[in-house]
Amino acid sequence: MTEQVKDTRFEKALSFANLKATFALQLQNIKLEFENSKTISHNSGLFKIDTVLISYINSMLTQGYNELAVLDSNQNPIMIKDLAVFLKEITDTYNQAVNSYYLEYSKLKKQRNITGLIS
Amino acid sequence: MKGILLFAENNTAIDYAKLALISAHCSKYYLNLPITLVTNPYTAGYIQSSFGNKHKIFDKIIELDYDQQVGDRIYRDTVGWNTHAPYYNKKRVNAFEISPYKKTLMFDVDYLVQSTELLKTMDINPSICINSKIKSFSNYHDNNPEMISNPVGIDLYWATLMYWEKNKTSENYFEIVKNVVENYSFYTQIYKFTGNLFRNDYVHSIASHIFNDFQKNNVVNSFTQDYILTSYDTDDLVEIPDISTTKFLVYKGQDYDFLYHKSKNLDIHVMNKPSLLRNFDRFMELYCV
Repeated sequence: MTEQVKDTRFEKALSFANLKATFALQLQNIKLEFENSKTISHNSGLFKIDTVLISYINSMLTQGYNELAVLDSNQNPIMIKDLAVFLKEITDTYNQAVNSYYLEYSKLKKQRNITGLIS
Repeated sequence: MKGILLFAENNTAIDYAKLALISAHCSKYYLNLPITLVTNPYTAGYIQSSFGNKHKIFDKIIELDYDQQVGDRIYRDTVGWNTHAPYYNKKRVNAFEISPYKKTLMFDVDYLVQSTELLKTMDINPSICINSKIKSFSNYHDNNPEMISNPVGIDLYWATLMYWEKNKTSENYFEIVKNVVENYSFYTQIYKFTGNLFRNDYVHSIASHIFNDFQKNNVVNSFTQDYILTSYDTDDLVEIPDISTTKFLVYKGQDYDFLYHKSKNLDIHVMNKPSLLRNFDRFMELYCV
């Protein structure tokens, strides 16, 4: 591929008309990254962490449970041997994932041109 | 023991050996698992003599005879270039026996590992995993999701990425795979697709359909990330600024128009193989430590 053809492609890709589409594409990407980073495996189970899971585990702990079988994201029952440790793990993972998502999203939102969006 | 199994055989258009080196170095960086390469004698000799010590990333190189029957496929490099070349893809049928590992992760050499995501699947101990969904960078292709065509259409499973644990279940699955391969033309009639190009994707789609009792159930699982993020061969990998970041020109589907795109911490099936090869030196600079 010649340099001239490459330049034309870059020039068109960087034009203002593509700003919204590029933003949407980058947003999709950071969402996918967020989805992955809030997923954990625990005792051979898969947990896609959300606020419902966190609240449920917290409420079971408050009610005095220390060990409990919990349905994972594939609806398989998984024995959680120490609910307190599990709660800390899912809370930390979730908060870290949301925080990274927030930082990436904030950076993205501020950008007013494509060079900024993909920098 | 866990490990990665890669298949690569050079043809007249694509240097699969180089792709295998890229794939192996990236996956070693993120997954830190032993890697076995399965190839033919010519490619094995080439990879061991042409790249210094880089081939030592492979814990084992298995040489097998050349495929007897060879298909022919198109390779594209964005929308400006394409060529036909022979396609050697039959050895995978015996992947179950070939793999030296108890738990095997197998992916195409154009599957670019850029995260530790695949380790999560290995942690939850499924027998077999293959994804039947893809997501592309652009949504322009997603209006025509690939499926084995109607009226008896079934989900298309992507043999691009597979995982299995050696047990009776996965052994039975691979027996079905062999049966489909041996009777490929019969299955082209039953499932009504063209048999011009032998595709492992079709083989595993049919095998999964049979193995799942001709229904959609969970005998064949998905990975924890249940889709394969795909950059089509009309896209172009233009830059690798740093570890885990890649930049693409994504084809918009018309008028030679592209979007600029950055991807971070996401594993990507990069179908444009020449664009991966153009960045070989950069990959080695970043990941060959």
